[in-house]
Amino acid sequence: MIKLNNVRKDYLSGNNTTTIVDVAELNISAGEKIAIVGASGSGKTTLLNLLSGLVVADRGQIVIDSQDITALSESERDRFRANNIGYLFQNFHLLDGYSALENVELGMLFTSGAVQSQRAEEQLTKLGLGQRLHHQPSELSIGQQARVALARATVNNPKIILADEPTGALDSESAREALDLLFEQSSSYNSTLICVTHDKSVAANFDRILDMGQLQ
Amino acid sequence: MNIVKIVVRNVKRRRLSTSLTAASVALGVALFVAIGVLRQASEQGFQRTAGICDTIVGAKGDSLQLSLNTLYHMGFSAGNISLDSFNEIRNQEGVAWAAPIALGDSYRSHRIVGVSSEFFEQVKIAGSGSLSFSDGRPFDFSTEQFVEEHEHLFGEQQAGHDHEDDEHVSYRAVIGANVATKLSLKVGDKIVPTHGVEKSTEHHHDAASEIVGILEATGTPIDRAIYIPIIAYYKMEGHAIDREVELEGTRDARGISAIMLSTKSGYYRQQIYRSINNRLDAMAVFPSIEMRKLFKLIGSGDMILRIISLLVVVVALIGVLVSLYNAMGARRKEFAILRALGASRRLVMTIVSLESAIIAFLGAIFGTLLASLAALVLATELHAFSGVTINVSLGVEEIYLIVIVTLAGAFAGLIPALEAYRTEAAKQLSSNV
Ligand SMILES: Nc1ncnc2c1ncn2[C@@H]1O[C@H](COP(=O)(O)OP(=O)(O)OP(=O)(O)O)[C@@H](O)[C@H]1O
Ligand SMILES: [Mg+2]
Repeated sequence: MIKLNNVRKDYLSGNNTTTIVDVAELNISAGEKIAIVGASGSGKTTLLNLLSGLVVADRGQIVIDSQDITALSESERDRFRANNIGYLFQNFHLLDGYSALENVELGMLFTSGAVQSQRAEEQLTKLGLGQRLHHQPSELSIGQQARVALARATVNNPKIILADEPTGALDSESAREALDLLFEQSSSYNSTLICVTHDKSVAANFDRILDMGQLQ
Repeated sequence: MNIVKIVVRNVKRRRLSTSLTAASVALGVALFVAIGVLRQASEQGFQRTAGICDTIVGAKGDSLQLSLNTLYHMGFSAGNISLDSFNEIRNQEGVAWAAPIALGDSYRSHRIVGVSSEFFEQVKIAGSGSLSFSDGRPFDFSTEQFVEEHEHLFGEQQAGHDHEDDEHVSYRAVIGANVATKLSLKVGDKIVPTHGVEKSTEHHHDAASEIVGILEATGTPIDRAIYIPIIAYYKMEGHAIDREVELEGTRDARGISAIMLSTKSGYYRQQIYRSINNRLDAMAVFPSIEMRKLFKLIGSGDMILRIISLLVVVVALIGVLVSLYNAMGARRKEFAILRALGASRRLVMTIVSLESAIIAFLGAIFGTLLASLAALVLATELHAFSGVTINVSLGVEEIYLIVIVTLAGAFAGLIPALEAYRTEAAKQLSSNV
C-alpha cells in the first residue's frame, strides 16, 4: 500500500550536504501499525514529512495506493495530504484563537469534501471532549489538547495517520490513553498508522518497529 | 469553518492593529469622498439657484461678482444701472420678464432685496415651480408702478408729489422661510432695516416694514432674504446719499443693482445677451455658466485635494502592509499548521491578502460613512450660510472607490502574503516552540 523505492533526502548544512533519509526499499501494507524509532536527528520526522508530501525527496519514488506522490506537483500533494493523511504532532500544534471544534473542522477544510461540523463534533465526543467543544486550546489540559489533535488528525478517517511522538508531552496515563485511541481509530477504519516514538514500551505495541539507523 | 471565517478571525484577533490601520484608510477615503460629494452636491445646489432666471443684467464689472451678489447675496454689488437703461432693456424684443433688483441693506444679517411683484410671479425654482407662500401674500407692486414712482421721486416734476406713506405699499415686506424660522417672525411683525450688509448699527428707523407674506422654503438663497418693494430703497431717508458715499461715488444712486431677466426663447436669449453686452453701461451674464466656470475653478483646487487624499489612502495601505508584515514572523507556525492540514501555499497566501483586503474594505466603508456624515454637517453649514440646499448622496463613484480601495488592500497584502507563501511548513513544525 505504501512503497518507498530508493528514497533519498539530503540537507545542505554549511558547505556539505548530509544525507538525512536514504531508504532503499520499504513496503507498508494497508492498516499496518508501524513504530519508527531512532536517535535524535536520525531523520524520523523527515521521513514522515516525505510521506506526507510536505518535503520533497531528492530522488526515488514514494507510492501510496498506486499514486506516486513524488510525481505530483506541490499543490497536488497538498490536496493529496488533505484527503488521505492525518498528521499528529508532539506539540499538537492546535491553532490558537480557534475552539476545539473549529480546530477539528480545520482538519476537514482543505479536503475535497465539505466541512461537516456534525462529524467534527462526533469525533470530539467520541474522544470524550463533548463538553469541551467550544473551549480554546489554552483552556484545555495537555491530555485534552492531545485528544483534540487526535480528533483533528482522524476526522476524515484518513488512509494514513502519521504521528510524530504523539505521547512525548503526556504523562504516562494520558500517553497510554492517547495511544489506545490512536490504535482504536486505526483498527476501526483500517488506517495505516506510522508513529515515531522514543519509548521502547510504546513501540512494543506496534505490528512492526522500524529503526531509522537500520533503514539507512 | 471556511476561509472567510479564518480571515475574519485573524483580522478580529489583531483588533488593535486592524482598527488603527483601518481607521487610517478610513481617513483618506473620507477625505476623498467628502471632497467629491460636497463639490458635486454644492455645484448642483448652486446650479439650481442659477436657474431662477436665465440672464442677469448689471453694471459692467465682474460677471461672477454680479451673479453671486444678485442670486446668492454674496459680496457686494459692483455698480448700478440707470432706470433709463432698465426701461430700454426690459422693452427689448424677446424679453419674457425683467425684474428690477435693489440690494445693499440687511436686517439682522439677512439681506434685504428690493423687488417688484414680477419677482414673486415669475421666479421658478427647478423641481418645485413658482414661489408659493406658507403664510400671507406678496405685496402688490408692479414694475410699471416702480418706474412711475421712481419718476416721481427723481424726475423733474418731483416737487408737488404728496406722500401718503403710512398707507403705501413700500412699507411691506415678504420674508424667506429661513428668515421666518430663525428670527421667529410672522405675518404682521415689523422689521427695521439696517443700512449696509456688514454689521451696522445704523437703522432706518423711519422705514419699519410690516411683514405681509412668508415664502415657502425653496432650498435657495431666497429662503434667507427679505423682500421689500423696490421703491422703498429710494424712500429710506438718507439712503441714496449713503450708498453713493459707500461706493466712492462710482454709481448712480438712483439706479438699480441688477435686473433678473428671462427671454422668450433660446434665439432671443443669445440676441439679448449680445445686445446688452454691446452697451456701454450694462452687461448680461448667464448665471448657470458663471456657476459652471466657478466650479471648474474650484475643481482644479479640489483635484489637488483629492490627489492628496488618495496619497493618504496609499500611505494608510502601506501601513496595513507593514502591520501585517510585522505579524508574519509570529504567524509562521499558524501557516505551517494549515499547510500540514492540506492547505496549499497559494491558499495561505490568499488568506493573508484577504486579511489586508478586509482591513482596507472596512476602512473604505467607514471612511465613506464618515464622509457622508461630514458632508451632511457641511451641507447644513452651507445652507445656513448661503441658503443653498445641497443633497448629499452617495453614488456609483463611491461604490467604485470602495471596490478599488479593497483591491488595492488585497494588492498591498501580497507582500506579507508572499512571506506566508514562502513559509517552509516542515521547518516550522519541527521547531518546538
Ligand atoms: N529543513 C531542513 N534544513 C536543514 N536541515 C534539516 C532540515 N530539516 C531537518 N534537518 C536536519 O535533518 C536531520 C534530521 O532531522 P529530523 O527532524 O528528521 O530528525 P528526527 O529523527 O526527527 O530527530 P528528533 O528525534 O530530535 O525529532 C537533523 O540533523 C536536522 O538538523
Ligand atoms: Mg523529530
